Amino acid sequence: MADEKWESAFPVLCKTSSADIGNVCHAVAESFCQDDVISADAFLSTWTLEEWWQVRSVLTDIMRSAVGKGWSKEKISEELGSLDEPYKKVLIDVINVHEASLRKKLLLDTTAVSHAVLSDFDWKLQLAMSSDKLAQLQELLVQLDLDVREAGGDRKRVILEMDKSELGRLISSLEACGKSVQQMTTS
Amino acid sequence: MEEVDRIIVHSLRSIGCDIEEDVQSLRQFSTELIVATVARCLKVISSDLELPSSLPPGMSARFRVGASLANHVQDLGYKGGDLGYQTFLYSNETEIRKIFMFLVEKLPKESSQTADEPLGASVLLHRAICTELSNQLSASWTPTFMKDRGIRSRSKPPGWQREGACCLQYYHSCPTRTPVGTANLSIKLPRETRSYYTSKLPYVTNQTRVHRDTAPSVLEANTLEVAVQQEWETEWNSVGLASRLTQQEFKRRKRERLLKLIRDRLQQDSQRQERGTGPSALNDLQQVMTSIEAQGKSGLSKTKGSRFAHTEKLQYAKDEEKTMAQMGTAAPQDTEEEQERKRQDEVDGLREELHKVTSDLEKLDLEVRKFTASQQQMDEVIMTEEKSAEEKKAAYTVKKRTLDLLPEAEANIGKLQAVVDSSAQRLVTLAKQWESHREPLIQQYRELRQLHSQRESEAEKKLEEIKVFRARMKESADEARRKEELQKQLVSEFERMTKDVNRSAYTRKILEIVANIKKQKQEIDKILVDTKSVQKEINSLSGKLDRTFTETDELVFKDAKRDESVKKAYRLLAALHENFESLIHTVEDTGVVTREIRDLEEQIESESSKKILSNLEKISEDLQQMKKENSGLIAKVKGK
Repeated sequence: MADEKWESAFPVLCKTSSADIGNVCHAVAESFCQDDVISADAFLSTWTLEEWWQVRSVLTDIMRSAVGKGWSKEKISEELGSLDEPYKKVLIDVINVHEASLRKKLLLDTTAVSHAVLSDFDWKLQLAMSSDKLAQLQELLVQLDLDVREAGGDRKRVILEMDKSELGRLISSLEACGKSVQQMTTS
Repeated sequence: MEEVDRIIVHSLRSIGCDIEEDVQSLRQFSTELIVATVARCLKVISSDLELPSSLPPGMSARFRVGASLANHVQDLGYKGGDLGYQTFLYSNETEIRKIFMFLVEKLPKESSQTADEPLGASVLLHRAICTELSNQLSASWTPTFMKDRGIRSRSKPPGWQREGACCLQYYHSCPTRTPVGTANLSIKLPRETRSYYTSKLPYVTNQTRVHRDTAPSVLEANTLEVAVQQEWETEWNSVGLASRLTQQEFKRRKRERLLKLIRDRLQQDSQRQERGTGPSALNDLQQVMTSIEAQGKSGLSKTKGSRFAHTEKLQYAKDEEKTMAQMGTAAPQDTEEEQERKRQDEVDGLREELHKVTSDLEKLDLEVRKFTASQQQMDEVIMTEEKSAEEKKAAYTVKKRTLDLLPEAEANIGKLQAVVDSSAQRLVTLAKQWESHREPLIQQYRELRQLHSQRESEAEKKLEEIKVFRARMKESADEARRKEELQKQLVSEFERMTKDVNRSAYTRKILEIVANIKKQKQEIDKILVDTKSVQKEINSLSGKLDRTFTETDELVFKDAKRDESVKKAYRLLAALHENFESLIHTVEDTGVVTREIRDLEEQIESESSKKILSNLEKISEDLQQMKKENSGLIAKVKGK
């Protein structure tokens, strides 16, 4: 099934020169690794928007399966079927260059299978000098922002403000979690 | 004197006197400045005083101000000679210096005392925050479009601050790509990777979608690398070193172990799933299947189908009836009853059939069970039979042999004996051989074992040592860090200190001065001793002279009665003595006069340093002005 899809995309792919296809592949690979969206503006001179979408999805597909299934160079060129040789070579080179980061990205995606995953965090340290009741308070507060990605792909920002003891409790519970994970990995 | 002046100027500045930067000594003080600073000092010493901080234009007012200042200074206990308006208005350097020294000593000391206390880091921080906040509060509001990204710079004190919340941003990072492995020239990069790095890889500033994410991304990438390295280091130290494997080996083993663990887990989970939910899932499946089947069958023929399907069907039928009734296309009543009856019959028939089928099924089930039980029994029986057959076979072969041997019993016994003997002998020789082989082997084994254990213990020791070294390394690193922090704090404190009086310089100067004074005192003592010795010598010499003179006088006098020439000599002697006496007197007088001259010269010097001429000019000018003012006043009075 995938082969047919790929085969149908190859003529579209061949609209650009084999020198330019390297740039395109690099851009697609980088955007895939970074979970980023590339703007289609640069490519609209060669493809229509729809064709660009097709190209992008096929290229991502090829990279995903080539790295995910651990294909060798020969296997990749075999799987690419009817694509012209120079294009094949460029594609294989790009996959080789980006293999480590692609693999990392795939692994990250695989490990993030729980229904909510911590995707980013930020923290800030604040010093409350005084309050409405006390002139000299001098309380340290930490503000912790947790970016949580939920099962549906929605992002939610959880904001916690903690004083020293609360932070200590959070850290100790996290340490307990880490210890149990460590036990699992080392035992 | 310069040192003293500098201290005085510094302390005057520190209490808030407006003294320009280039003023370094009291000689540069103008009359206005003197009056202003003295007034400021008096105000600081006793805050309830009412004094003008600048000199008024009128001459008489000036006079009054000077007089009041002199009064206040004397009230404080100044005992340095006569003090009056002239001291301030027509100043001379030495007097002003004395007054300022006195005033600076009288200044309250609290501020300097608090500055001397050692300050903790938190207090310093708090102070810094407070000053920063007060600075920000004192600044006036500016509209947002005048601040570039909320940053506002100020010139006094130099610095900048962020204002407003519109330009705050999250510390958000995205993965960045950097060339890997370019530092190690010995490993060759693949060609395509190299070409990617040189021509295709975008700059790190272009890799993030939003430019302000660049710095966080780079920082994050760095910390990530450091954290990974540290984690690996600790793991290697705690577990890896003890396992005595190479790093690659250790990593490989860990990877294998993890993979195995994950596989086991997954297998276990899937098994549990099959065991736990398998039957129920099967049941569900069966139910669904039967229901589908039943629906299909009921559509085709209404005589077959499970009860479930039928009840469902009934419900549907009822629903259909309802809908039919609602739609108003009511079917005739009798047909409905008929249908009902038919259905009832059908249900009964089906129920009977079902009963029958289920009972058949149960029977069959029972039979199957019986059969399986009997099969098992049979299997067991077969097993036991087989076993006994084998036993019997073995017994048979033994017995057959013995029976074969029976006819020539004697010879056979002898043969057997021989065989037994030879085999026994062979056993013995073999045992001997074995012993002879075993001995050195065991020896070797023991030696090797010992060697091994030694090595093990050595390795243990070395490991321990390594651990100790690592711990010490960490400790020393920590200590170094701590010391550095302390040093930083001290440096900052020191910087703060140097802004104050540079104490050490002063103390060094003071010590030098004290040493100088001591030396001078010693010299003075020496000179005194010298003088005393000279005095003594003079005294003894004059005594000797007196005595010799009287002796000579007597001798010559005695001879003079007899001899005329000697008489002359006596007279000459008396004249000589007188002349010398007068000479000594003159010398002494000259000494006194030179001393007086020196005193006078000193006096002249001191007087000339008092700027008498200029002061005189000033006084005469002021007198003129005063006269003018007076005449003006008189004219005013007359005019009235």
